[in-house]
Amino acid sequence: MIAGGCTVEYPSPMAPRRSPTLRLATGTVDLVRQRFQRTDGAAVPLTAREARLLEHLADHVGQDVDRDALLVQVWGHRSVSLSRAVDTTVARLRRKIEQEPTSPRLLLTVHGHGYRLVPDDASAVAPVQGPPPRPPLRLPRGHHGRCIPPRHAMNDPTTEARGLALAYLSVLNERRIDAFADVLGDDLVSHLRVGDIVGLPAFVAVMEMCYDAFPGVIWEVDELIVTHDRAVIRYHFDAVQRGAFLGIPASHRMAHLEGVEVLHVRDGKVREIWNYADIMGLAAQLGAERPLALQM
Amino acid sequence: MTLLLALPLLTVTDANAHGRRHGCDVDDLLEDYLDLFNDRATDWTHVLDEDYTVESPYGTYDLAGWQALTGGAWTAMPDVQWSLVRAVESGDKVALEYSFAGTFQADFLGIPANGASIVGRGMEMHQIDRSACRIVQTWNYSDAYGFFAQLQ
Repeated sequence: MIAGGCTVEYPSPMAPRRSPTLRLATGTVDLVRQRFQRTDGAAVPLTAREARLLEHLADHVGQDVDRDALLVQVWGHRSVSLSRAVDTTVARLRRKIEQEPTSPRLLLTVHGHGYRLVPDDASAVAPVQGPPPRPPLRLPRGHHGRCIPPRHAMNDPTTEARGLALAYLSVLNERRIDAFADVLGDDLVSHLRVGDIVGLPAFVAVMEMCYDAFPGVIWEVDELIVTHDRAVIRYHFDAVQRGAFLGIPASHRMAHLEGVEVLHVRDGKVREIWNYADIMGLAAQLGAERPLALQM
Repeated sequence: MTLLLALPLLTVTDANAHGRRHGCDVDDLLEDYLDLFNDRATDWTHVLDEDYTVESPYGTYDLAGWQALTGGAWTAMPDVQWSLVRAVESGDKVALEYSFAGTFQADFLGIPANGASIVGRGMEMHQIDRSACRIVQTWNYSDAYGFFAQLQ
């Protein structure tokens, strides 16, 4: 995300891989803003999952899409489950995009199988011009050529918090340990489920352990919300464990981890982090004989 | 909610004015949300959308399924109370960090009760439908790791 050293592109993990806008007979879906603009003028917010589901169905427009495949492709489940998440989300979507939700014409049930998105007419599902991409947040170079938050961002605390959160993700994902100090305070305290990490050097040590354990790890952002002094990042990663992690020897298994972090921003640096992640679920995926918590 | 109001809340509310203009006070909604758990409410639909879903370390649940799991926690820890630690709100999203405390008095998920005092924390991100002033989806990241360690 830091390109050419000092340019941060806004991460848009929820952004669609195809056109960001879908046109349906009943209105227009903005997949980026997660909003359905009805033809009667009403704007209806969509959840991230609803937008993702619509995007996936639009990629297979006119085709029957298996419910279990949706759980894997849209929900990220790693195996078939008995979850009713697809059905409840479809029901909610129908109330938003259908004229008669009880008699759907766009989002049809394929009994015993799944769902199918059907256009009302030839142009019902058609990519149209999306909004221009957001300009990258450029980070000027500071001492030793390191990136620092832009001065204009300092004038707007919310922009500063967003910029720092993005820079934080960039240095983590690019393993730029030399740049950690640009975004993280020396007095950083990181509250992890396995204990508190006090000080930047200790944080670096933990990250090096993560990089050794999961060499291909990339933290993908599912949601980023910011206020004047906090940023909340909901994230996930999929990576193969190649080294020991929290006492679990290298399993060479692919693991999926989801979590959320709250960053406390002060004086241009991230000062405190609260992390909640499904560590126990991760341990189970890595083949720990007992849940990790029980080994403590 | 008495318990909640007595706590030193750290609530970031830069978007609250926006919410009130649209008739949905997110602070109130979060209080009502915690009341569901603390008051052992049976009807949750004034806070949660009828097609509510929650993704958690324990699986993905609809409203009825989440109520059932919570009911199990109520049985296992009859005195359990949840408290708001901090909330961060922006647009239609709210991140809520919470804590809970109770006594493990009845078996839970096959683990025999040990009478221990249990404390835990977690974080949730909620998607809010402001027009209906309901929570429509939750991503729950409870500290199952620390929780189950205390049950042993």
